[in-house]
Amino acid sequence: MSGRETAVGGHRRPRRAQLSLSAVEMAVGVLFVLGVAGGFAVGLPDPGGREAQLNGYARDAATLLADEPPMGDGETRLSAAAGSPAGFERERVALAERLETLLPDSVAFRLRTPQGAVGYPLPSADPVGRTTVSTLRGDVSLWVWYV
Amino acid sequence: MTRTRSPERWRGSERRRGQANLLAVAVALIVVTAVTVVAVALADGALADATRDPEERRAAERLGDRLVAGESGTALRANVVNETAVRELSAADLDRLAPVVAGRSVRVRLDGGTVVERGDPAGGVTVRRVVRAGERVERSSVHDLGENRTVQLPERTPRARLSFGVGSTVRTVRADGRIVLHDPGGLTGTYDVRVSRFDDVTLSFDAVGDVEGSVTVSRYPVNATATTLEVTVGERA
Repeated sequence: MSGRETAVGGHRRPRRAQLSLSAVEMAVGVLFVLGVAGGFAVGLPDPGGREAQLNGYARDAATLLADEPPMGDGETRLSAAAGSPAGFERERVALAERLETLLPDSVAFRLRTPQGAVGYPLPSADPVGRTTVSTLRGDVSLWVWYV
Repeated sequence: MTRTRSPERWRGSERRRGQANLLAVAVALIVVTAVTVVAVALADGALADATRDPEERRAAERLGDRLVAGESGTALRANVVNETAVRELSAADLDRLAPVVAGRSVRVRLDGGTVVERGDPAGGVTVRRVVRAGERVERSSVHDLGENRTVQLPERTPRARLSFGVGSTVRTVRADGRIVLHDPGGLTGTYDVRVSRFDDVTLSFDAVGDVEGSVTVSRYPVNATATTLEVTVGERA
């Protein structure tokens, strides 16, 4: 007899033990259930919340900019920046500084007027909040996102 | 005679492992069941959170809107809040402004400091508004019209109060060319005029002859700084 054989009634353990199928099934089952549970635990904590908050930031900042006096001539910062190339040049730096002050430190922005844009390049994937303000000289759009 | 070893071997190994298999099955069942129970509990908690969050968010957004809206008692203009009014808010004021928060735990913070709090809204939804917080102030200056019959308003203001001194001969006042006051008998006393707050306004004073006298010009600009207003709404108390 070779070592692989077992005598009838013998108690020698086979050399090649087979993994208990129940253990395998248990492991698979536990992993599967844990995987699903992990999905719940990590969860979707308020998925629309970040975008809603970003939209709120954009609307609030635009509301304030549309109400504040400009550096030079004009009615408001926004209308002066949107009105003419010279106006945009005059207001550009002040607009960027003002947006840095208004928005939280963790938020970046991009403001686009018919005369040009200030701020950071738009991100490709993140949730982005946005608002658009109509001025006499065209639409001004403000994008904000978390960094 | 063909002697097949497999039934014997099979019989032998099955007999040897039969009990081990039973134990493994029992343990496996218990473990999988326990893990499933935990997973269902987590899912239930997540579901409860998912249904509660939108309600709390709506309540927080509604209250935030009411606090910063230009027509409310707490704001001077849209997104410009009266700091004193906000700091004096009570929980009853919040319920009146936004009835959706009645019965819920709620907290309002301005510039990082808690202004009003009811209950413990930790775990609730927080909505942040960018605002300017401050107050409307009065700034006044006296001008001798004999020297210069125009006055440029140093601050933007929605209205101006003009107080003419004794001996003033002024008949007409224009704001950026638009007549705002006129009295052929002469303007004496104090008048409120509306001006455009989107403009750097120049007042000009005219009389039949030489313009004489002095005028006190009072402006009412908003003095406010940018800050953050946080509204947190939690569960029903």
